[in-house]
Amino acid sequence: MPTKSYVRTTRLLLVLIIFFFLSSFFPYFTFSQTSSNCIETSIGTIPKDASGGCSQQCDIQAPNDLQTIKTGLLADGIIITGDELDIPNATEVYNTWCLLKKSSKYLQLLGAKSDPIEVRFKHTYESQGSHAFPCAGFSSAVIKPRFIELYGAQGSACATYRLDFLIAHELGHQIRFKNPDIYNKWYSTAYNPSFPTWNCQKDYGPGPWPEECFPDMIAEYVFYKKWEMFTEPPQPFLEMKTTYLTMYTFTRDNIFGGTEY
Amino acid sequence: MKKTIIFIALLFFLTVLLLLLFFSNKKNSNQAKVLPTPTSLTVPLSQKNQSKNLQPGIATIQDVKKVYGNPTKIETKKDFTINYYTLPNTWRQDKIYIKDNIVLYTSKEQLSDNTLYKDFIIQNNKQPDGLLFDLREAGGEAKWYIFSKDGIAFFADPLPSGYTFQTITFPPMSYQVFLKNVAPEFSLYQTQSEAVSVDANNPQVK
Repeated sequence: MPTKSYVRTTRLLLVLIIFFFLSSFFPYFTFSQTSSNCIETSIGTIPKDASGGCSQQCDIQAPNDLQTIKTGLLADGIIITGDELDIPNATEVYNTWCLLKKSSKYLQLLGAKSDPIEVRFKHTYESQGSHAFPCAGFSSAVIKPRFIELYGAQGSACATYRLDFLIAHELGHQIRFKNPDIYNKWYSTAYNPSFPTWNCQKDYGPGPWPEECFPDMIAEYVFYKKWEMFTEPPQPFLEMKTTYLTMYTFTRDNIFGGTEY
Repeated sequence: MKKTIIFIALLFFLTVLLLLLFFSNKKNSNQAKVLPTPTSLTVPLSQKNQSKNLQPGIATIQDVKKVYGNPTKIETKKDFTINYYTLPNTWRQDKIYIKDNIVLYTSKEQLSDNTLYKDFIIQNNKQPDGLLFDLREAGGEAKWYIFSKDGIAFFADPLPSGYTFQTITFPPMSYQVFLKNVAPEFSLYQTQSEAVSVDANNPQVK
């Protein structure tokens, strides 16, 4: 007769064998897969939703203290500065970043941890003759640290949905600068100049400019349920998943690694 | 004794399974990290397009037909014709400019990942004769790097990347002649503001 401890050990081993056997066939059983979409970083843990997946919205409350926000973002390689930096503006960076960082693929493409990005809130755009552009932005990766600049974010023209979009748009340029291969693939296979944003569609603005259309697409991907660019009052952009499905799926698969908003 | 043998057998089986699982995951993660091999300029502009190097001033319309087949579209201008060739799996098109049955210029889209501009600089130890702008770079970093005496121009990201999106070839000439004769054909401008009309009074997301 086998001893009790022998039976227990054998049972335990059998359970382990079955678990590893199943995990080799069903990737969802592995630890790495279940934790790959939701991320724990300096500004908190992205909560999971009722089904055990990643939450569709960012539920982390931004701290009501500039220094804490700064420190949290800095740990992710995002440096916030500028003469218009205040708690409301910092909060919008925090909130937008909280959404973007839900995708590990996005974080990998942006590479901010190893190559930090300065987010500057400024009143005027010096390189355009010190013009005050309410709620506009600029992005550059030529000098280090690479930076994005956000102009007139304190003004009434820059509602939070506009500012959030602008932040995602300017960071979208950084994705492009860092990943020309993805941009080239998009330009070849998914670029649609009729995408109805200022910079994509001719009728709306001076474009179509593919270099501007690409970050517009990324920003709309994140915020399409809230705002179609320049609609007032803000309207959702539900065509993102119908008429512009190719752009949507390209962004989902190639920029956000499957994470949806 | 029998118990020990069964116990050891189970342990061995478990170890094998763990090893299989480890290597299976490692293989998957390696697949995700595979990077495309950059093409080299030493031989061709692009490995795939090796046969498509039609030398301006020398190649004939028959050579073009051998390489590309029939054009998707032909546009007739005052002094020359432009043959358009749609590339597979994209809307982008190569263009061949033809005058008196001889290739005048070629415009090739670079669909695959490459560092052609950087490779050219390294291999020839040269700097561009000039830098020009076009509408597509508005908001971006890609520029046209012109090597007029070498008869080639690259629409590429700045170094150290050198990632190239498009190339133009033409007969070797001085930079001034290039500016006068070739740049207008491809809508290339000497300043960014020429390429992009900026209305400073009209705020926009840039």
